Amino acid sequence: MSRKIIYSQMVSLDGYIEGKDGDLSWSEPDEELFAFIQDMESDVDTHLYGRHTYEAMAGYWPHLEGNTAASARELAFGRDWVQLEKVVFSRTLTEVQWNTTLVRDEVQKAVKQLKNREGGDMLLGGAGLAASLMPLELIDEYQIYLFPIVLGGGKPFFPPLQHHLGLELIQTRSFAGGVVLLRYRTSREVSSHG
Amino acid sequence: MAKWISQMVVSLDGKAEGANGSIDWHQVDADYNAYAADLLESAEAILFGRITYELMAAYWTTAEAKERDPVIAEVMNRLPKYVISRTLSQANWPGTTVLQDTSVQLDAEMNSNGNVVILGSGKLVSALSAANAIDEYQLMVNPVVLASGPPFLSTLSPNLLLDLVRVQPFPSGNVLLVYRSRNASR
Repeated sequence: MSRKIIYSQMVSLDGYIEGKDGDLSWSEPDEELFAFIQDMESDVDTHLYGRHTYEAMAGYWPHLEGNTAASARELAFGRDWVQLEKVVFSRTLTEVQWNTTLVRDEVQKAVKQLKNREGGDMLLGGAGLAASLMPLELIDEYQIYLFPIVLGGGKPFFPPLQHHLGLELIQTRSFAGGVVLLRYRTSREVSSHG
Repeated sequence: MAKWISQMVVSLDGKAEGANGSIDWHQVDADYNAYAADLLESAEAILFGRITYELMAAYWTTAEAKERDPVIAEVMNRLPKYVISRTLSQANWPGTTVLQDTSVQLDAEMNSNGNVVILGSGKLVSALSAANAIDEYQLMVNPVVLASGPPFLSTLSPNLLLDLVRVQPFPSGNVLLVYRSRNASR
């Protein structure tokens, strides 16, 4: 049985993971949500990134030591992030660090190899990479942390699709502040409507 | 004051319809109908934009509709209906009042206890959200991402302050999300 690829994001009510001008101010999880997500991702041992997300993560998490604003939980997460196995898919990046492998082409082949290897779940972080993997039917699970805010525009969680995509709901859960987790798995049958 | 409730079926990517107004992706089963019947039973009137009104008028007055969904057909035909339209010259569905805009007239005509339910009517809902005239948004999120169709949820006002009041999943994979608009006013 192959490993699961999970696409998980904070998403606005109208489906964006970033507002216009890269606005992320609305999406900061509180302690409860942060703890829940860490628990949810406890079977994840690999992160998959496109360049944009990798650079954002690498620019923040390894550098928290000594940052007095960071909570204990964030510091722990930062340390875990550095240790986690990471794979970045990018034609333009030339080097990576923090326990990261760079894949420069043949994305589909590389992802299938990763799936067939022994290991835990893989977390897909980034809409750009999701847009590449969705049409290849390589994403197994979608975890949408839906925030009660309308952004009106920005970077969408879902890329444009060729066909309608039917999903199977596997879990819902609400959190303080009106956030709702909507968790879906890829349906066995592919819808032919479009 | 009467509570104005917007009820929309939406896709997971926040659309109300696919290309050419297609709604064939809507999952309408016994659970959905029970939910819709409950909502409508709580209503004193139904409010529509023109496009949804014409579709509903064409369907709910038919013998087929009355046979397939007798509970909903009964309440849809019984309740007073209001349609906001400047272009609709005649409204043939009995019990309909045509209004030029979302005027004060509607509130004045309502009893203070009754709810006004707005069914579908995406354009009207967007406009009303900008005026913050809607008290509650009930979104029936279907477990499907559409390949086509115009955005809907992103046309709502970005100034809405929404409080989540209910999350209800259904066996079909639909999820009902109910949000109250904290600062709604009319």
